[in-house]
Amino acid sequence: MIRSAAHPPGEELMALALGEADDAARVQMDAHMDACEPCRREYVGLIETLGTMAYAAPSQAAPARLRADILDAVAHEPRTVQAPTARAARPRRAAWRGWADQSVWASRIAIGAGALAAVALAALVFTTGAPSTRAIVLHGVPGRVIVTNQTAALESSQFARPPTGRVYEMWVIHHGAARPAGLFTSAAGIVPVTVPVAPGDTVAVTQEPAGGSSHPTTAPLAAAAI
Amino acid sequence: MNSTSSDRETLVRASFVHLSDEALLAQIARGDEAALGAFYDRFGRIVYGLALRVVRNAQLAEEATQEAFFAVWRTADEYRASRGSARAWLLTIAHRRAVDRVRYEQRRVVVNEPLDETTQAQIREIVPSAEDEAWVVFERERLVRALAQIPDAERELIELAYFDGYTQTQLAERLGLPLGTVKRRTFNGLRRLRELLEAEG
Repeated sequence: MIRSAAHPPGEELMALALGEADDAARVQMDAHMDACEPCRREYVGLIETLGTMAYAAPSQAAPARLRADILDAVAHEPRTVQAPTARAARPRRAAWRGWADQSVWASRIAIGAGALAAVALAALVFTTGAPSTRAIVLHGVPGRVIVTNQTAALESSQFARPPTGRVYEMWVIHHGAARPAGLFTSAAGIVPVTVPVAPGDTVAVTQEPAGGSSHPTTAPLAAAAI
Repeated sequence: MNSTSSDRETLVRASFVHLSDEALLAQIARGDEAALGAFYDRFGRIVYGLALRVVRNAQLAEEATQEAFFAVWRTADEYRASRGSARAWLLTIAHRRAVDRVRYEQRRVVVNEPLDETTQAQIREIVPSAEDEAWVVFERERLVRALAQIPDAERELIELAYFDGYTQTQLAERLGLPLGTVKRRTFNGLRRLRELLEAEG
């Protein structure tokens, strides 16, 4: 039985409902609500109220093709993505060259070459028939990169919480140059890639000091070729 | 227009009409694409309207809407009725997708920019309630009445948090208020809003 001292304050449940709670708090509150009916009721009241707030926005017909695009995309979206087993093709070194000179990168690139080919193949598979949204398998950490036109988002729940003072940083590597593309502390759900992507780019993730870096300073943990 | 496929589609759509939102979601969890289509027909306008209000850009709103329904497709089996209605679940996902787009580095730029021309044109083209189902109109009116009864300071905080994606910390900085005050006021406002909505039935 949960003692009242363990109840999260209403303001914390509100932060959860507004998507502001960090992962640790979210997991803790979720577990608490499994056992605590009053807190669950409070949370449900909050998300129902916030859901009603959506009706304050003028409802709008989206472009008609959006419905077809969505159904097209899901028609090609297996509910469980499995890592493809592709033979290594030509490594896409060009996309990585110039990112960093550190030897650690060089070795990772060599190891990752086959995997990148696999990623490229996976992209091809997912692209077929669904031109507007692609789900590209992430290599290194289970997950995927979802690409819609020029925007991308990383989706994974498999990044462990980084040590204190460290964050994960995403990069978009375009013609060999890495641009910072957003920070996260652990990816539960979708993290938007904050710079546009183009075919041939690579989205990669490193661990960096809190606040992020202007260029990658550690070996990539995960990557996907767009 | 192929009348046969059109008739078939009408029949498929009609077959979902009697289903509750939750039952529709259960169908989606079983991999029924037509059920996702029906879910989109039911909530697409609300989700897109919400996304557009948050991101203020037609292209980004489309992407957020697409991501939201994509997430519904992939995670429908994670929905738990004990954590709220299917509608609240969907709108929570949709809100998060939209807010995520403006909460990172570009958020200030995007949020403070005027609406782009495509978006403005789309807004001009809206036929406000003619295409809305009666239920949407009812919900909006119920909400507007309830919001009008909330103290301005609380309503403003709720709207800034929900529609502009400001975190509580950002709101405290922006408004020059202690964080605790912002949290308490927003929470009290939401609780008041909830009570008013429940009283309105």
